[in-house]
Amino acid sequence: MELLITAAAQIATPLTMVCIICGTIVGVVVGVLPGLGSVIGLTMALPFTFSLPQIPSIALMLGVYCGSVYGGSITAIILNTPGTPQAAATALEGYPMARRGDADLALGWVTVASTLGGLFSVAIFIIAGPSLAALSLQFTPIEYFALGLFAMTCIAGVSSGQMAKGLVSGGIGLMLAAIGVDPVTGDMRYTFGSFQLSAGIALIPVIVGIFAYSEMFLRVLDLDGDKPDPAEMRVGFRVPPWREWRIRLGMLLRGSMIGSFVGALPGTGAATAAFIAYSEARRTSKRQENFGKGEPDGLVACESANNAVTGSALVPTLALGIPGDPVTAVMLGALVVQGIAPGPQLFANHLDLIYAIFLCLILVNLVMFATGALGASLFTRILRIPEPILIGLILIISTVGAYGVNGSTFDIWVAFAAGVGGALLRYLSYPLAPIVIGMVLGPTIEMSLRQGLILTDGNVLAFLERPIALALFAVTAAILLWPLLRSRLRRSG
Amino acid sequence: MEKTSRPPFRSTIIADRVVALCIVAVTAVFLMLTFGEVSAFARNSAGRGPYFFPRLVLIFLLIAESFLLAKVFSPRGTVQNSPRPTWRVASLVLATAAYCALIQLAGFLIASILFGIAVPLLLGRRTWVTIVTVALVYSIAVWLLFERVFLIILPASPFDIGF
Repeated sequence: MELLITAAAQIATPLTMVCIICGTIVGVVVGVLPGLGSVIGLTMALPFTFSLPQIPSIALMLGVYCGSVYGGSITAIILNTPGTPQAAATALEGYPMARRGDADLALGWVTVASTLGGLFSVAIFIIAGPSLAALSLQFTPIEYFALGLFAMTCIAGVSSGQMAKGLVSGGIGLMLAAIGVDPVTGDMRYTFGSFQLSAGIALIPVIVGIFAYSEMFLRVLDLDGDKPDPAEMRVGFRVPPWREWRIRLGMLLRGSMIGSFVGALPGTGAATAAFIAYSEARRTSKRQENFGKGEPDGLVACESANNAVTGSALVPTLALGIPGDPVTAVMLGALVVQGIAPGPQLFANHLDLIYAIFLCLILVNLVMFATGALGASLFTRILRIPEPILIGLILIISTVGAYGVNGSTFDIWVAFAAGVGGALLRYLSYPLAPIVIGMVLGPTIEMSLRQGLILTDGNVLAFLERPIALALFAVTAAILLWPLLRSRLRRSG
Repeated sequence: MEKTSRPPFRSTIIADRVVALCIVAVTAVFLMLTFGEVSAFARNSAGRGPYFFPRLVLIFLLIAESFLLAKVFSPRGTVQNSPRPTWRVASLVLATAAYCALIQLAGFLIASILFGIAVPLLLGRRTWVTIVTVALVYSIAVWLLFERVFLIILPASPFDIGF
């Protein structure tokens, strides 16, 4: 209780409140703009966190994260153009509602369901985070190595249809993390005599390059595409009456549970959660015949699910130091810049910080509701900013992000190189998220493998004698072999 | 990028193959480097030396790349249909490279104002007043915010004019 009060005191500062409000508004704006999404929003917010204290910077990132997931739904409803992939399912029911003149009501459903789904996931975070952290206190380097390998399987989740390219991207990320001084022996690796490379390649400039720069470079290809008609963008906000809500509470709960469960799994994310919840709602709803024509059941299910991902995705990120997707990988990078080392020790030694994150998440979800209710119609005006101007502005703020982490112009060139390389790889259908996941997990996997080998006198088979590690190796192998097994079964069946 | 049923351009397929071969070549070079000289301490380390982990990763990469090569050289290929890159993409990339260089030469503020004006012009926008106003206001706002509020010292110009 004392820690909770300390945490509340930490976040009850004007600066933290400003960060929550600004972060949420920026997140909603980024979410509204089609093609930007959570990762670019967080990348743009990174430079602001460098000089902020820990709690306000976390509040800012959480605001951007949750706000961007919600913001994508606004354009999905009004223009049938999901601002983010997470909102794709929302368009299926939201746009038909808007077409029949109920856009304000659809925004009401979405805003309330998003807020409640987000709050549900905070509860999951509060319950599951400490338990997972307590379990992981028993981990030795061998378990961490097994866990790191398991987390790498999330590459499969973000590489659908391009598995070979996803694995190559993941390997590139692991190799980028290996450049610089060897942490055990102090030898230089792949520095080619460069002084700057001896410190390694920093994560943040690479994130800026492969997500923000490459997206802007390739966005130019679509400049002459169809653009939304400004006349379509005037909408209000109306909260659905309680009698309508009462019959959909089960749908809301089910969507929130699906989102919370899917969010904690590596490599899945909010888009997957939204579609699973939508198809589950369609299967179980008493109003099935209305699906596709603007049925609120579908909106409630997918919006509660995609926002419930936000809290639960933080559970493995903070409790184990293992990011589940690119969004949490960027968040992890920002936390490390702040001097916070995610992992079980964070829960053991800095519980006040964890409670502060809980409280921030709750506040962010409440601010998100207020932002949606008061400004839904205003945010669609963002779509009127001419894209050629917007591209320049995003590149400028992203460059500050690349530079600000170390105050080094070398990092600007790293971001540029990552941007050009990322644009080429993206154009050739290589998934880019595995590069970041590889860079984040690389040092953990390498250190734990080598420490494990020292503990076992170089006996790799001794790794299998530890039950948790064995279980994690088995799950990893099952995930990797399942696609092969499934295709065999299909052929024989 | 909008996908249609049109097959990908032949040049895209060739680029896909060239990039895959380049990745394999770089992997092979990096793998060869893992067999180079290391310090005496590293040789005797129970953690298996500095190149132990990169070697494992590179061997894994070569295996993954063998699957990749099989796919990119198959008749169906691996690339999706995307719009053909235009001179506008190239000009934006070059402008960004110039911006990165100009930050070092002329400082963040001057470079950002020029870049903020150049990008919309390169991308076909001709509303001069809006472009110049936005570039000026935005660049100065970002500079003031980071330099004066967040105290992140951004690269300064060599002209000794305070920014």
